[in-house]
Amino acid sequence: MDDDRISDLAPFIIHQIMSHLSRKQVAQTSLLSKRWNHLRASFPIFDFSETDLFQSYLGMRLASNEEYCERIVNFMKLIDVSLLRFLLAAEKDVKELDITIKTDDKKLYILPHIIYSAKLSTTLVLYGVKFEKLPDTIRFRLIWKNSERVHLHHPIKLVTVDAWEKDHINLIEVQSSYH
Amino acid sequence: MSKLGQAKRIIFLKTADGQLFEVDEPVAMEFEIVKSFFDENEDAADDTVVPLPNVSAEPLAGIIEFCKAHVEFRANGAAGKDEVKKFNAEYIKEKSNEQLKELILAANYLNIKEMLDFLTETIANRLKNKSVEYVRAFFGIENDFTPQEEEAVRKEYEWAFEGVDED
Repeated sequence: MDDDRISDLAPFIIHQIMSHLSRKQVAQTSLLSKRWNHLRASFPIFDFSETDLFQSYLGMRLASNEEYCERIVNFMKLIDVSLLRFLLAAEKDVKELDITIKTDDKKLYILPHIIYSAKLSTTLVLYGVKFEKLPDTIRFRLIWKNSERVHLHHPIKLVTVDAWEKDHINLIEVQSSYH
Repeated sequence: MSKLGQAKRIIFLKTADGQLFEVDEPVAMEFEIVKSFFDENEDAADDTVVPLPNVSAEPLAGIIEFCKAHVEFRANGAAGKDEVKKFNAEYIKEKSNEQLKELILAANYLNIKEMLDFLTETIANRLKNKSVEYVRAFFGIENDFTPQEEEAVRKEYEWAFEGVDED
């Protein structure tokens, strides 16, 4: 068996294999090699669970408040870092980005700044997120001339698409309530 | 051997190790690479031999077996039924990891989507709950992290290594 050929499998095949593995095992592939670390970062399916950060579900229930908070902070960091890495790793290939964040207590996820520098060619769909800063003048550098559409689904707090301009979109503040 | 217009067309495929395969047209057309060969060479003679310089005879025989069965399943309206699952399970049962890897390389080269889907899932099943070392050996991956880098990645994904059996 020529090992070089199998370890050079096309990224989409490796991502297909990853899609059949558990969250934990996908995360473990980061450790295989530098190439796999990059492949894992560009794996387009995200699946996070706060229980991942505990030994067990019971461990989560029994954790002290302090430990619990620390774990949750780490968990949110994990999401931020994962998104950021994904956008960097997938920079050239991403055409559509659809981010849907669902939380139990209906809090909105604060989208990291990196989103503004992603190079998307067609579509951005956001759901259940808010931006780090009030985006009255933030311009979406990510939307290039050939962009077809931007969807900002409710409930996105505070933002919606106002108008198209040549290379970017201005976002304005609106009052949209979260249901 | 053929009555005019009724002949079942046969496609000739030649492997890297020089073996000639005669494959029924519907089966050969499952291979995207063969299909586009004939799409691009519309006036290719019927006895044209399609060279497959990246595939050897053993995996090709396995792939033909799989695709032939699936073409028949589709023709019989059995797609997605238990019959298919049973065939797939039997098909993969006797395959070693090495054979599986040869199959996925060949299916990738020939560009057969349905079979790739099936093979990637099979590989994932064989890697389930296996250690990092096992997965490295499976794919022949060379660990090119420095010990410090490896430690840093391991620390970052600490949660992913809790409760893993080292086998």
